[in-house]
Amino acid sequence: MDFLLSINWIALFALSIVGLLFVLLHLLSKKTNRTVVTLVALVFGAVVGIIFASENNSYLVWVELIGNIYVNVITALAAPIIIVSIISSFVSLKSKQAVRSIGVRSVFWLLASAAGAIVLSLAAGSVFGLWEKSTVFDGIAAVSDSIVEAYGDLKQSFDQTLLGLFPSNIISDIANNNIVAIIIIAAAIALAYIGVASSEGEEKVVSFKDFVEAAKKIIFKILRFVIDLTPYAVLCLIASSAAAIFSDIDTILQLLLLVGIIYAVAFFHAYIFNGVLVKFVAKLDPIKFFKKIFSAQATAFTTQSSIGTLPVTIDALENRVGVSEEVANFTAPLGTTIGMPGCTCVWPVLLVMFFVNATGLDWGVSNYILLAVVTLVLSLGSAGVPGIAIVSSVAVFSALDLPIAAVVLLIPINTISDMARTLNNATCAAVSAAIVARKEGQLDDSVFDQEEKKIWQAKPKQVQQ
Amino acid sequence: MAGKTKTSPAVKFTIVLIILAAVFLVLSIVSANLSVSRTINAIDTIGTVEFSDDSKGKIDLALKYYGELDPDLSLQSKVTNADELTAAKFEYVRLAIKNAYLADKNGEDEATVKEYIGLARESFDEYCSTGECKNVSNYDDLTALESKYSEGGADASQSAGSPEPAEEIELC
Repeated sequence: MDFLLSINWIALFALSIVGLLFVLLHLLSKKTNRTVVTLVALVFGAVVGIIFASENNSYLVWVELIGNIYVNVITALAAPIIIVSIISSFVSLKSKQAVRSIGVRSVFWLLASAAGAIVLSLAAGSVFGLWEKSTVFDGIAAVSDSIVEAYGDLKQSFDQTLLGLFPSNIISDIANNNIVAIIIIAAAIALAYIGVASSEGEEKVVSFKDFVEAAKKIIFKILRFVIDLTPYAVLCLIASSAAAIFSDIDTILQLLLLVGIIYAVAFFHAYIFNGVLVKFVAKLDPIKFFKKIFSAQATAFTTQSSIGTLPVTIDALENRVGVSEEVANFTAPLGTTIGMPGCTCVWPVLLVMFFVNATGLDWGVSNYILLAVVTLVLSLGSAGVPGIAIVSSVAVFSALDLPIAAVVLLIPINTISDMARTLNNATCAAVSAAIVARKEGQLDDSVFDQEEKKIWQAKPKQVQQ
Repeated sequence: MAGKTKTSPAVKFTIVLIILAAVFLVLSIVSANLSVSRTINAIDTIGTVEFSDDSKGKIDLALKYYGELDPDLSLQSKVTNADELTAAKFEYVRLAIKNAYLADKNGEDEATVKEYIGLARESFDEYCSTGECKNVSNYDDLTALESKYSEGGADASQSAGSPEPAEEIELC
């Protein structure tokens, strides 16, 4: 009897139900495109999550494990993809000027998007002054010093943040997914290759180029396997997130308005603000564009990891939007560190405004300008991993001399809002890449104009290679 | 073999999953019911509470089973004799305190009394959450003993030459 009682049978029941839903998704994927399959996976996952909501997510322990394995695998691919892609694409550019131009444009559009998110958040925070009677911060004194100290340790000074962006140890930078450092390493290798090739002749270094091309083919083959699993992972991840949210629904209801406004601002920025940029700067049909990057958005929404989403974003940009390899592999990774409007702009700005309104602090225009500047500066360097929004908000609160304990009290809504924030980050990175590609003349409209279903069936990555 | 259609691996896999789901569902229901009956039996086994390792072991086992009941299925509310478990906990703590009290009154050596006081406090902390001391009728005896045997407490009272008069010891 002890054996029978020692096993979590409900977790296995949930796993077998998810297995049956996998079969349905598999059948569906043969009849329709990836966007629809991913959307259906989202719905399946939400339903499973609500049905199997339990304390500590105990019923979905195996389902969550599958989702986490996917996140780990796809995150593991991020650094190798960036390295081989940047080296491969920049080597083929054969011009240092082109590299510089892509870099400058990328940083500009990523920061422009972040600035837009800050303005939108400030506007939304001002319009919805309904938080003035909130009692959420009544318990601020009860937050223990040790907790405040632990969160306070998360913040970094700006000079430390900037220093952290640059490579210090190649192995540890790759191991820690320090994206800017990885980009710098890869770009330095590519520029050195171009230098040697132009001064001593390409035959001296061509074997290195062949090696990189071979490595790229292998890594992208692995990526293709993993990307094909995305809808299944989406189902698992959304199920565990929905279950966690549903089991903590009382806390979330207390902060429902804040959650609602974070979602409204994140989605408005992702779809309307970026939609305008897509239409008038990238000169693409926004609806078609968002349909083409939907798999990346869904992955971001469910994994809550910008770096984990990166391989899916790059794949969508190259194969479905028509962004050139060099821009897709440079701008999108950069967007997991610079900009990140959802996590480093929308979230901290709205938290600060929520706190200011709820506690009745007398803030003038100068305070809000300072908030905007501090947030924009901090958005220059943040890692695209789950939880970075907490670090950003601690840094902003600390810089503005506001109590870090207030951030601690708002942690319960972090997971639910992180889903919308990460979607916003991934969308912003993809839109910036499309704009840079258009400006650089590296956007293939014929790829963008292709019907999605044809692309799905043709597996263009293999065709191109 | 004409006319016999071959089942595809996908269909076989689906059938296996459906069977597994059905089996796991049945086992979920069975194990939930079994976990409740196991807890009820464990509580029944406690019987008359004594200040002994055997009695403590039975209470601990019942508590372990009770704690393992799935909160999401509200299984704890299905344990019909949960009150007996609560009463057994408090009775064990009461006996532990009584044991220390008797040791003190019988003039046993200080180390032994201190050991019994420690055991009583340990039992109280283990079985009674904050605010439950009122459920242990002789809790005041424990605090009095702790105060007496705190640093210098016992020596101080002896050196003062005022030993407490022998009291009539209430039987458990």
